[in-house]
Amino acid sequence: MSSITLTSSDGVDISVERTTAERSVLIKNMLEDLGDSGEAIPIPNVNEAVLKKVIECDDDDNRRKTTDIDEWDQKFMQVDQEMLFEIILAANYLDIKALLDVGCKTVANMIKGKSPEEIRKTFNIQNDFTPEEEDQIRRENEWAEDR
Amino acid sequence: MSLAMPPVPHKDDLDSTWSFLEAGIESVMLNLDSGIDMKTYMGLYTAVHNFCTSQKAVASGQGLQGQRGGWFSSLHAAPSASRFELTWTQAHLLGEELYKLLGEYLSCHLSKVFKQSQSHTEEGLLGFYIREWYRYTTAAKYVNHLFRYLNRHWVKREIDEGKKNVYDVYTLHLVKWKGDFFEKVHEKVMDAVLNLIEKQRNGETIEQSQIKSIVDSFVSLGLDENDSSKSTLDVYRQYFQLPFIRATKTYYENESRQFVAENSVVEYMKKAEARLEEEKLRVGLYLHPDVTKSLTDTCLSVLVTAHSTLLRDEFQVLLDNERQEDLARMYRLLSRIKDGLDPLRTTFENHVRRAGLAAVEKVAAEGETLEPKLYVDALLQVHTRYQSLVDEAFNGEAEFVRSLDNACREFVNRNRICKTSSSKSPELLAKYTDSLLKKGSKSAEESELEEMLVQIMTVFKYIEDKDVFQKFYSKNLAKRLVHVSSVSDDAETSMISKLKEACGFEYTNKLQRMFQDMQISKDLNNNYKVWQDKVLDDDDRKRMTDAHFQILGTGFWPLNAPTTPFLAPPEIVRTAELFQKFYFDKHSGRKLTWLWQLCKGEIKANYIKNAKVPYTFQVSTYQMGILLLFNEADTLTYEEIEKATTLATEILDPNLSILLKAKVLIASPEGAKPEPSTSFTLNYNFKNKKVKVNLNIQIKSEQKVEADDTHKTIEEDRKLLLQSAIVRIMKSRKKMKHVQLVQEVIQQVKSRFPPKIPDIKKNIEALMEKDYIERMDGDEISYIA
Amino acid sequence: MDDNDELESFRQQWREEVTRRSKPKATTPAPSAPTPTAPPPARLPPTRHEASHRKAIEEEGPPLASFDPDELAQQVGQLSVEPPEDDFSRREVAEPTSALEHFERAVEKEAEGNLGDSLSHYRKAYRLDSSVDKSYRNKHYAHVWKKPNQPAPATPAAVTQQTEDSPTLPTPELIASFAHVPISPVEPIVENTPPPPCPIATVPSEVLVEILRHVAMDDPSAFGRTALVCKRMAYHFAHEQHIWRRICQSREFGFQGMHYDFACDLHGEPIYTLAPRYTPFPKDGPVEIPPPLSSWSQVFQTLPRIRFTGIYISTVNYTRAGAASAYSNLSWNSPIHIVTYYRYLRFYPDGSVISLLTSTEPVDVVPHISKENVMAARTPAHRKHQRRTSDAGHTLSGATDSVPPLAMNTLKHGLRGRWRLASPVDTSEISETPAEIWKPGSASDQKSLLSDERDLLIETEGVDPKYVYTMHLSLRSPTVPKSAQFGPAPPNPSKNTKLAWKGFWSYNRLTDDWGEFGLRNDRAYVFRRVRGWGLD
Repeated sequence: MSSITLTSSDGVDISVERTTAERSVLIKNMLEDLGDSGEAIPIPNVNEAVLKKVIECDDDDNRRKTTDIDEWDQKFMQVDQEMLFEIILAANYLDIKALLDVGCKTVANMIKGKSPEEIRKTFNIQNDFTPEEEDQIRRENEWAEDR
Repeated sequence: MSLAMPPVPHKDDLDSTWSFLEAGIESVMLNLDSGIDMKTYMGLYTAVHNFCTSQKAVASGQGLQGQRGGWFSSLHAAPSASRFELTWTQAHLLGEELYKLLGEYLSCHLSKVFKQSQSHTEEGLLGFYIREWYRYTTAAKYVNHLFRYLNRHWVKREIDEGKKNVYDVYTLHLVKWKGDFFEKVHEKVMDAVLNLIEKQRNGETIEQSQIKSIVDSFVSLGLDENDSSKSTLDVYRQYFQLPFIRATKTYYENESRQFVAENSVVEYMKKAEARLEEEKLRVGLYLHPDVTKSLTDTCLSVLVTAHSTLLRDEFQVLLDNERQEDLARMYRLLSRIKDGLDPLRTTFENHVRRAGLAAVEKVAAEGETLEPKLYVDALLQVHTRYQSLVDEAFNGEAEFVRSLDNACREFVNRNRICKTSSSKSPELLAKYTDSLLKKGSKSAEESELEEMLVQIMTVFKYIEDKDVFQKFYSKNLAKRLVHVSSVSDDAETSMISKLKEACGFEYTNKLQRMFQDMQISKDLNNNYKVWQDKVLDDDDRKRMTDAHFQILGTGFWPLNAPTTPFLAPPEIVRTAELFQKFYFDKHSGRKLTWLWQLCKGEIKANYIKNAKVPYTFQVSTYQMGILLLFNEADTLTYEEIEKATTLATEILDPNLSILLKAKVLIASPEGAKPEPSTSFTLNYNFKNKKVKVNLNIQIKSEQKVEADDTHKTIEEDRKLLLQSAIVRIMKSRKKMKHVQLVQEVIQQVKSRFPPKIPDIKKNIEALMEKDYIERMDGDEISYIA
Repeated sequence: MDDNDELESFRQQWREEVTRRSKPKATTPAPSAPTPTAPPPARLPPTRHEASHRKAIEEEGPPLASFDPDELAQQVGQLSVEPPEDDFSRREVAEPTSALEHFERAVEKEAEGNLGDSLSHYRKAYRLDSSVDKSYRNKHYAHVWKKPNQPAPATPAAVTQQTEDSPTLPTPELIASFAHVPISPVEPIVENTPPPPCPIATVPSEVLVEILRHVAMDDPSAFGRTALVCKRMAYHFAHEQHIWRRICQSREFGFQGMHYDFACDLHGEPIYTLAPRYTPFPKDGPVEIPPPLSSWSQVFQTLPRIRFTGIYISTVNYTRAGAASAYSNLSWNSPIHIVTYYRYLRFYPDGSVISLLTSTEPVDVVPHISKENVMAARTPAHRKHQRRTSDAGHTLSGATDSVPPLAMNTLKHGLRGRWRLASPVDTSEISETPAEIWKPGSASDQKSLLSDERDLLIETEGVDPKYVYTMHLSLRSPTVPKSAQFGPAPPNPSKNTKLAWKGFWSYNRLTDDWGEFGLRNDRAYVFRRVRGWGLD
C-alpha cells in the first residue's frame, strides 16, 4: 500500500494511505489526472487539526458498513460544535460523501425532538422574526406538525 | 505560510476568480502536454469551490452581500413569487456567471479551432479534426474535475428543477463542440470520409483508423435532450449514416449497372456476393454497428433487388445445365430480399415435374412387360436428384421442399404408365416391394435391402391410391407367408412398421394379424404332434402323411375359397380329417375351409427304374390328386382323371399340361393336348438333373385373374369405404347440404385414395335407396335413424 | 359560527337536554354499547350505512347535541407554544381553584373527550362566576379578535429593522423575502465580549439543506419546527421541494406506506404477490405532481394519507338514566349517567392495524397500544409467565414489562386487522385479492362504496374467531373555525386527520351472514400524535 502526503492549509505535512486519501473524490480525480508524482498534495482549505480528524474518520471507514450513525460515528462526532462544522465543511470541500453524510446526520440529530427555541439555543442562532412573522409562519406551517 | 500557494483569488470577486480560472483552463486546453502541477490543479478546484460557497453563509451584517446569497429557488412552489424573481435572477447570476463564462470561453476557443481548420482539406482535415477532438475531450475531462463542485451543486440543482440547456461541465464541452465547431465542418469532414471509403472500395489501401475516430467522435456528440447523462446516436445517424448510405447507394448503382452490361449473370452474382460480404466486414472494421441494417438493406436493394428479374431469368438455364453451385449462389442472394424466391419455386416445380414425366416416358417404351423395378427406379432417380439439389443449393428450405413434393406427387400419380389407371403406380410399387421381400431376390445384403425399403417409402409417400398399394401388398404378403417365401422376418417387420408410421395403425392392422396367424399355426402344429403321439398307435401313424397346417383367419387374409371342386386323394383326406378332429376338439363351432389351391406337397417317385435315388416331385395338391391316381393304373384317360378329381377343366387342363411338359406323364396320341379323349401314361423313364423337381408352377392365367380380382375388390372396398364415411358423417350431423357432405367425405377418405366426386354422388344415391338417408328440400340431406 | 357562540350554544343545548331528561317520562331506554341493529334483510352488507347519512352534518360542523371534541382540542393546541408532544403523558396538575381555572380545566377535559369531568368543572366554574366564559374569552382569544382591527404590537427585542407599520405580506411572499437572509448568531451576552460561537451560520446553503433533509426524512414534523427557528430555515422549509418529494416517496411518512390493496391478512401476515403493488409516487422512475397541486409539500398535505406516528381516537358519549346518587347535589337534580367510551385505531405501514374498543381513558392506555402488547395481553397469564422464565429477553415479554396492569387488561380486547385506502386506479379489472373477505353485493357496489379516494377500509378480527369486522371510514379534514379564517394568516392545519364513519359490519364466516352495527353515538376518529411512534 502506497502512502501519499497531504499539506494542510497551515503548512503541516500529513502522511496518509493512498486508498484512504482516495475517499476524497477531489484527491482521487487529481491523482487520476496528474498521476502520483510523490509530491505533497496541497489542501488549501483545511487546517491541520481538521485534516487530521478527517483522516482519522477515513482511516476507520472500513469499520462502518452502513451510513447510519452507529456507535462509532457517535463517538467520533463527540467533538465541539465548531469542530463538527469544520469537519462538515472539509468533507464538503474534499468531496467525501460518507463523511459529509455522517456530519449532516449528527447535526440533524441535534435538531430533532427540539422546539424552535431549543434549536436556537443549541446553535446560538438569533431569532430574526418579528412576533407577527413568527405567528404567521406558525399558522402557515401548522399542518406539518401533523396532529 | 511556508508553501508558495498559487494566488487563489478572493472568493467574492467574480472577475478575479474568472481570470484566474480562465488562465488555468487555457493551459489545460492548450498545453496539457507540458503538464499541470498539483498546486495549480488544487488552486483551480479551490477557486471554484470558494466562489460557489462564498457569501451565502458568512455575510452576517453585510447587507449587500446578504442580498447576493443563496441561489436556490423553487419557482413553482410559490405562485406569488414572480415578483421576487428579479431578486432571484441576481442571486442566480453567480452560478450561472461561472457556467456562462466557461461556455463563452469554449465558444471562443472553438472559433479559433475552426479558423485553423479552414486551411486543411481531405485527409489533412480528418487528421486535424481528430487531433483537435482528442485534445479537446482530454481537456474536458480535466475541466470537468476542476469544476466538480459546480457540477455537484449548482448544475445538479438546475437539472433537478428541469432546466433545459444546463449540462454537467463535461457535457457542456460536447455541446459546445457540436454547436461551435462540428456544425460548421461536418460536411467537409464527411466528404473527406466518403472519399476515403470510395478509395477503399476501388481497391486502394487507406488509413481506416481515421474513419473509426471520426465515427467515435460523432457518436459521442449524440446527447439525449431529456437526460444529458444518456447518449443517443442521433448525431451519428444524421451526419454520418445518412450521407454514408447515400454515397454507398450511388456507388453500387453505378458499379452494378456497368458490371451487368459487361459480364454474364453468373459473374455478376459472384461480384454481388463478394460486395455484400465486403460491406459486412466494413462495419466491423470502422463503423458503428448501428449502421449494419441500413447498410445491408441498401446494398441488397441496389445489388440484388434492382437486378432480381435478370437473376430469375437465368434460373431455368441453370437448372437445365445443373449448375448447382450457381443455383446455390442465386438462392443465397434472392433469399435475402423480400419475396425474392417466390417466382423461382413455380419454375422449379414445373421443371421437376417435367423431368419426372420424361423419365417415366422413357421406361414406358418397354410396354406391358415393364419391370416394376425399372419403373420405381425411374421415379426414385428423379426425386433423389432434385432432393439433393434442394438440400445443397436451396439450404433444404421448406418452401422448396414443398415444391419438390408437389412435383413428385404429380408425376408419380399422373404419367404415361398411369394413363389407363392411376392405380398402376401403387400396383407396380407393391410388386416391386414383393420382389424385394421374396426369397430369391438379388439384394442379398440386409442393409442394402433396408435402404431400398426406405426408398420405396419415399415413393409411397407420393402415391395417392394408398388403398391399392395396401391391397396388392397384402395379397403378396399372404402368399409369402403361406409359401414361407419371405426373405426374412426382420425385413417384413421393418416394412410393416414403415407403413404403420406413414399411414397409421389401421392401415397395417390386417397385415399384422396375418403374422399373428402364422405364429399361432406354428404352436398349433406342435400341439397337434403331441396329440397325435397320444392318440395314434404305430399302425395309424404309418398310414398318416406327414403334414403341416396353417389356420388363416378369414377376415384378415385376402384369400378366397377354391374356384373348383376337388376330390382329394384318400391319403390326404385321412390326414385332413384327423387334423379336423383335433382342431374341432379344441375350437368347437369353428368352420374350416381347405384352400386346396394354396396347398402343396412332395411325392416320391419310386417307380422310376433308372434313378439311384428316387425323384421327389414338389407339387400342388391338385397335381398330387392327379399323380396319385397313377398308383392304381399306368394309363388313365382324360375323362377318368376328370371324374376322379372332379377338378374344373380350367384348372385340370393347365396342370396336366405342366405334367406333360415335364414329361412325368406322356400323352397319347403323342403331342395331344389335355382334352377329352386324350389318355395319359406314367413315364417310367423320367429323367431330370435334379433329384427334387418342382412342378408347382404358377399358371399365367391365374396371375392375370388374380390381378383383375384385386382391382375389382378395390372398387368394392372403395364403395364400402365411401358409404361408411357418408353414414358416419350423417349420423353425427343429422342434416347437411349435399355439397358439404361431399366435401366432408373427401376430407375423410383422401388419406386412402383421392375419391372422385361422381363416385361419392353415386354412393349417396345408393344409400338413399337403402333408406339410410333421404333428400330434403333445398339440396339438403338428412339421416334416417 | 364564532367560537364563543358555539360554546354558548353548547351550554344552552346542554341545559335544555338535561332538563328534558330529568323529567321521568322523557327518560329513554339506554342504548347499550354498539350492538348490531336489526339484522339486514340481505346476507350481504348494505352498501349504504346509516352512518353515511350523517356525513353531510359532520362536514358542516358539529351537531348541536354534542360537540366535536377535537375542534376545541385543536384550539387549545394552537395556544400551546410548547413543542408538540403527545397528550398522553400524565402531568402533575394542580387542582383548579378559581372559576377561570375550573373553566379552563373543563375545556381541557372536553378536548380529551372526557365529558363527565368536563361537565363537573363547567358546573363549578359557573357556580363561582356566572360570567366566567367572558373572562376565559378575554384571556385566550383576545389576539384573535383584535388582530383584524389593529396591528400587533412591535416587539422591541426584534433585531430586524422591520417597522411597526410595515404592511403585512401574504405568507408566500413573506417567506420568499427571507431568501437571502443569513443565519444571525446571537448577540454577545455581555456587551463588547465576543459572541458565542455560531458555526452553523458558516455553512453554505447546499450543506444546510442536506442537514435539513436528514431531519425531514427522520420526522417531517421536526422539519416543520425548524421553520420557526429563523428566516433562513423558514425559507428552506418552504422551498426545498426535492425534500418534500423524498418525503412523499418515503414509506415511513409518505405514500410508499399507503396501501391500496390489502397488504397482509387479518393477523398481519404479509400477502405476497407477484403483481406490482400500486403506489402513486414510485421511488424508481419519474414522478409528477398531480394537478391541480403545484408543489410537493402540497401533495404531502393534501392527498389522503394515514398517519403512523400516533393514534386515532373516537370518543363516544351518551347519557343514560340512573338512580340518584348521594353527591349529585345539582340544582336541576338529574339522576343520569354519562357514559364515555373510546375507539382507538393504530395503523402500521405494513398494512396492519390494531383496533380497540374500551372505556379506558387515552392517558391510561394509548402509549401502550401496539401489536406486541396486544398479543402479550391476550396470552394467558401462566403461559406468559413461562415464557418469561424460559425465554428471557423475548420481545413479547419484554414489551409487557413496563405496561401497567390497567392498560394490559384493556389491551386484551385489542383486535388485529388490516387496512387499505380506496384505490385511485380502477381495480375492477384486476382480480380481487383472494384473501379479501369484503365482498359486497356486486362489483358496482364496491365501486360506489370505495369510489372516494379518501375512503378507508379496515377489516379486523371479531370478538369471536368466526366473525370478521369491516369498518368503512373516510378521511376528513378538521373544520377551520370560521372566526379564524379572516385575518392575515388563516391557520393551515393538517388535513385528513379525521376518520368519519361510513359503515360498520360484522361478517359471520360460518353462516356467511352480514350484520350491521349501529353507530348512533359514534363520533369520527381524530388523530393524535404519540411520542416515539412511527419514528425509528
